[in-house]
Amino acid sequence: MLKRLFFLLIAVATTVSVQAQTIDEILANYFENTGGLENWENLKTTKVSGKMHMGGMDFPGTIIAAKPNKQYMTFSVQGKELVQAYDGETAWTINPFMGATEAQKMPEAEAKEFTEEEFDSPFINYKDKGHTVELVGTAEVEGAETYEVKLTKKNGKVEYHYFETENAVPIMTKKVIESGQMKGQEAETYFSDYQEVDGMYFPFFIETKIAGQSFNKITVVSVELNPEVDEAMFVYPKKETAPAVDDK
Amino acid sequence: MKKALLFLLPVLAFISPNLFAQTTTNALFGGMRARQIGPAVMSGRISSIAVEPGKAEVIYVGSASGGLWKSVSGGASFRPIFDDYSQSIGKVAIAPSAPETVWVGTGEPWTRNSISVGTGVYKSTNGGTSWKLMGLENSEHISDIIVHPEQPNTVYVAAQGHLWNANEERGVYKTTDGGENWERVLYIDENTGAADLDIDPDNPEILYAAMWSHRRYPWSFDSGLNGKSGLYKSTDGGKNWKPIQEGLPKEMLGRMAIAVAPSNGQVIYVAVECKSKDGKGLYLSTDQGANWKKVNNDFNTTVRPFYFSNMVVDPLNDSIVMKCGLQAIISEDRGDRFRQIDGTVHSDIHDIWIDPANTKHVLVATDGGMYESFDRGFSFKMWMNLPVSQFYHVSVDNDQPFNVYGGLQDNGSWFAPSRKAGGIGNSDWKNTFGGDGFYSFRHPVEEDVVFCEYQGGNLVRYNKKTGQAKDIQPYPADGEEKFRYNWNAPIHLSPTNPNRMYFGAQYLFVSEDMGDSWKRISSDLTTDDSEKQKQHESGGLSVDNSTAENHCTVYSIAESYQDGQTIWVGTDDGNLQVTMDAGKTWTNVVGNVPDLPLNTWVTFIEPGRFDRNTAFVTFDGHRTGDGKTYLYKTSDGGKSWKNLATAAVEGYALSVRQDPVNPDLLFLGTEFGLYISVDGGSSWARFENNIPKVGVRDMVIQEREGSLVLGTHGRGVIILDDLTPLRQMSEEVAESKVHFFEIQPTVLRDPGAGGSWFGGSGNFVGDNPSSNAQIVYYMGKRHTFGKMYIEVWKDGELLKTLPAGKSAGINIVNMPTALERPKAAPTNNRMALFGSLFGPNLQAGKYDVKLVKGKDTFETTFELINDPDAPYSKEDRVLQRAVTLRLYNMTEQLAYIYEVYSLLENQANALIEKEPRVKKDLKQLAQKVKQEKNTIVSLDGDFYVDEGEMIRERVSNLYRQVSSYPGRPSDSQVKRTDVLDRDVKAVQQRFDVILANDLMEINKKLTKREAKGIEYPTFEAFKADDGGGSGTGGGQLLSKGSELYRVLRCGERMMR
Repeated sequence: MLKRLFFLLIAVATTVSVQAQTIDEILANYFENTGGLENWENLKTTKVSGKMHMGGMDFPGTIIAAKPNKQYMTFSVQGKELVQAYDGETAWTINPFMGATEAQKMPEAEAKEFTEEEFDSPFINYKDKGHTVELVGTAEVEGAETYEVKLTKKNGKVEYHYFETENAVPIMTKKVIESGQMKGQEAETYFSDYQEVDGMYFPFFIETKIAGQSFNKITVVSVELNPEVDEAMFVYPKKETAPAVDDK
Repeated sequence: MKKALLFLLPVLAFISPNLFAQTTTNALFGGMRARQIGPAVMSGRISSIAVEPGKAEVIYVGSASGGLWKSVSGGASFRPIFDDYSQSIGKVAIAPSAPETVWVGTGEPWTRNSISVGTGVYKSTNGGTSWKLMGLENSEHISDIIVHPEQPNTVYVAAQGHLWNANEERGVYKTTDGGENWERVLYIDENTGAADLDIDPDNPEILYAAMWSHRRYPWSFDSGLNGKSGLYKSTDGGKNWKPIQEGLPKEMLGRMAIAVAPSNGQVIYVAVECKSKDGKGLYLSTDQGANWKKVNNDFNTTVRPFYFSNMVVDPLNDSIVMKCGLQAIISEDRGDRFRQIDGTVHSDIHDIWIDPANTKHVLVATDGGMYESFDRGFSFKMWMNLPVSQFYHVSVDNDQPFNVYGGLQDNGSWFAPSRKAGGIGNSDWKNTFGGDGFYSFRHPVEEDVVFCEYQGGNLVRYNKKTGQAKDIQPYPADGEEKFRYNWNAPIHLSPTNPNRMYFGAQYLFVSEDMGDSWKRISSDLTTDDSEKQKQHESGGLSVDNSTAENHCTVYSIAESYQDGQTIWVGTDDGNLQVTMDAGKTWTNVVGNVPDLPLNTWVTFIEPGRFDRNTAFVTFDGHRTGDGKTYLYKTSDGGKSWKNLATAAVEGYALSVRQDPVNPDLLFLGTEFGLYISVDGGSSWARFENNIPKVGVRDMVIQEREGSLVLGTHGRGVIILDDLTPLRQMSEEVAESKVHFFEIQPTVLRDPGAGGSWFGGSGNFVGDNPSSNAQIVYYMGKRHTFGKMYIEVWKDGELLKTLPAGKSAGINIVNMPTALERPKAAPTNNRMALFGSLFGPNLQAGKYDVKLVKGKDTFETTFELINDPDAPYSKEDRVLQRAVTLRLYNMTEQLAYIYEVYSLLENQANALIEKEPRVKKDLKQLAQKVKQEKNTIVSLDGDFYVDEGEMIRERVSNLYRQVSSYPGRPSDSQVKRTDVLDRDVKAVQQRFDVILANDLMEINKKLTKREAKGIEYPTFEAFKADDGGGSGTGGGQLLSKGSELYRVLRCGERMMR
């Protein structure tokens, strides 16, 4: 009996300490457990290669990203290369499935999403960036206990991030889809298979679900940190003289 | 802290067995997902409509018990946006000045006998994406919400309040801070709620409210009740109210509907319920309610006020008024004359919307879904995409695939297959009988015989072949008392004798000749309380004798699965009777049930699957205001009972089933969804994945398939396809790190030649069960760190690597049962392209599975079997597979040759300038391979009606034909394959010659010049390349491509 009580006391004590974590402690733990804030801040470029799984098929692809928000993505679909990139000003694509062989500017709604994406985790120096964060409480995600963190970005957009209480890493984010046919629905993105790359940890499996149904899955094959990147690849290659499709 | 944790570790290890003891949690269900098969052909009762001001395409549809749906396409497609909350919608309202702010009052106000309950008022500030409960949790029914025209935070709510008992949370409420605080601004008493509310269009401080005294009892309804109903007006934003009844009948009033003309606040219409024929009818005021004048008392102005008290005035013309009714009616002269709307619209209209931008554009909400008119009601079309069908009961047969049968509120009796090529569409549902439908069963042996009924015991035997229905209800013999049949009279088929069926009035009847004759095997099993048998007087001010209030009746019947002598009967007035001798003697055992209020409705009886003395019984007290969950179990034939409901269960209990395989696996349906227990009822969790908080009135287990089929009252039929993982849950499984469940073999199904046709977005199509092989496992803990994936092997060869499920609980990983599509050369021939888009089925047999999780590997197998019901012999299948594979290999052979030719051509052309001495040879080679390529594929043409055909196209076209039919290929097909084989061999020969002669020659010369030779991959390297070879082109893929593109975009963003 006495033993029981003792265990109970400890259980209560640990519960209390778990709940006592502040939002800044949660974020600090996250950065600490995934390689240290300094390393995160020193990240300038990344190259991620992986496979997209869809309808029983796999599509290999690569994403190269650079500070502050540039990126270049290619995916190979049925032998054809799909390119999508953003140079900080113009979001563009080469989409052979839309009948294009040359770079074209993306429609405004999609391009907008690029301008709002940052290379850095929004939680790094979030105060300086004008974001606010709030610890909503704990929530169960795929059977794991998490801290539910509400991130309100400077532009007013809201995202929810769920940090596993045990490991301090995010295992799910939730945000509202803003354009297209699924507008207004919440997309939940799950992270797992965290693996070490040069002392830092990244999720090597990412699955997006909408209304409880799997929408896509990505298996990451390799992550390179701070690779040499030719900045020219991000730049919209359309000739100046050519009339842009949707210039305003 | 770290130290403390270290210290704790051994402690945790010590107590962990208890922590992991098997209990039912929501996390356990993991990746299991139910499928909703609708239907939407008859849809279901809609209680409230809201359309965004200035955007007629943005529509919110609130259903009576199937949740809230949103369309952004003018009704072309809908999606449910309220699945986590009460599915009974009272009122939807959009803030006119902030249309992303939407208010929902839950709890339908149309107070019929089968009505659900609400759980308060909810608000969304993002157009319905997410919701927050804002209060009035105990109001149960909300009839109206008015949002101030300029201030979105000022809102008036008409709380109609409890239907079945007195409560004080009713009347008119107001908030000025967006729902943080509420003030009850108009309150009469605990029996009188607010049934309607309206606002002056010119002065938002002026409000009108209809207050209604009413009460339902399990056996009767009273509109008018204690006489406190009345019409009220406030001119100061709800602070003060005064009655406005000058000109209204000076007698007891009932339910009233108010409608202020949006274009003229002076003009107000009121529909008045009272006892006297002269008094009731439509009244008009042209002075803001100071004086009233009766203008009409047509049938539909006075019919069933509790169900139809709703009116709408044209937004631009104060003379045009539409009223809900058995049929909706419309007047264009201030109520002087009315006409009925289009008679093809389902009867019982509850809400109407008139488009301010085009007032001939009208939506109506009915007992059978939504209809839209563009000619002010002369003709309507139905929206066939709202699967809010309200099943009372459900059953299945044993056909392949099995059919689902059931009856619905005001929508008759129907059946449909549980699987259909292209999905289960509206047209797959067949109607067997009309009225309100309830129980419906296929005869266990006679394939064409379906028993069904309409309200009040009108039992028929329907024949699928002839389409005729024969009345087989038992009638009283000379001297016998009138039979009292419930609204929802129980039919029960014996599980022990396929020819035996039961039917219940106040007595129990049995028939062994399909209802042609009946034997009464009980005396009156009810309390036979004469005070509760006055349904002919029911209704209060307006008599409403529809059989809906028939009481002291048998409501549930169940014969033991073990023993045809043991029969359980439950009544609506709370008797629980059992006989162990086929009806010779009956014992009322309800007195043995502890903590159960007297006369609590027996909703469902499930005899024990494994012994005759066990039974599970649900009781439902909501008709006296008692919303508790009552689920009891006896193991001694009813002598003692134990309540199995725990705090985890929400909602009054409606149905219960015990799994026929695992006695500890129990299913409980309540007003708020499906609950499952894997430990015999000690712990429960709600199954949430694609089952909303909808009333589960009935459920049945299809034993051959191991499927749980739910009859929901608001979301149609919902199926949980494979109960296997739940059946195999045990304490041992719960404690394991990874546990594979033993799944039944997957049937390789012939997809069928038919499929879905071009119905547009406007037709609901229910999902089919998964056709994939499934790898199903339990994990005690979510996988977050380290690799985890699945490999599928066959005979030592790795077939496929699949992503694994990472969730704690049950994970389901789908393995496609087809080979990868063949690698194919490009083509601009449409049908040939289709021919290379699909791989042939994997072969029947056992497959090995390796689940790699960090450093550990876990192994299992799955099995594929051919469809045992398909009419193809083994030899047929062997030949079909052989021919298919020959054509498959030819396709890839040609793809490889084409790819190599392209590489040779490109490299040769690139070298022409660099290597002038070999220029001639290179040019020749490039030309030659180009010509060869043109003999392989046809790239001219428009991909539609101007297409060529070469060997690649011929092979693909034949491949498409042979691979899509699982039986014996025709002789002609086999011979044609030989011909094509010969042609492909000829292509191969020329290819070999070019490689051996022309290319070898050039490479020799290049080597001599110390240049790099022309290179090409081996066939194996080509096959292994992820890129997909030369790919498939063509305009037909454009739409698929753009869809893919969207997905890639989404995935890409998430990768960082």
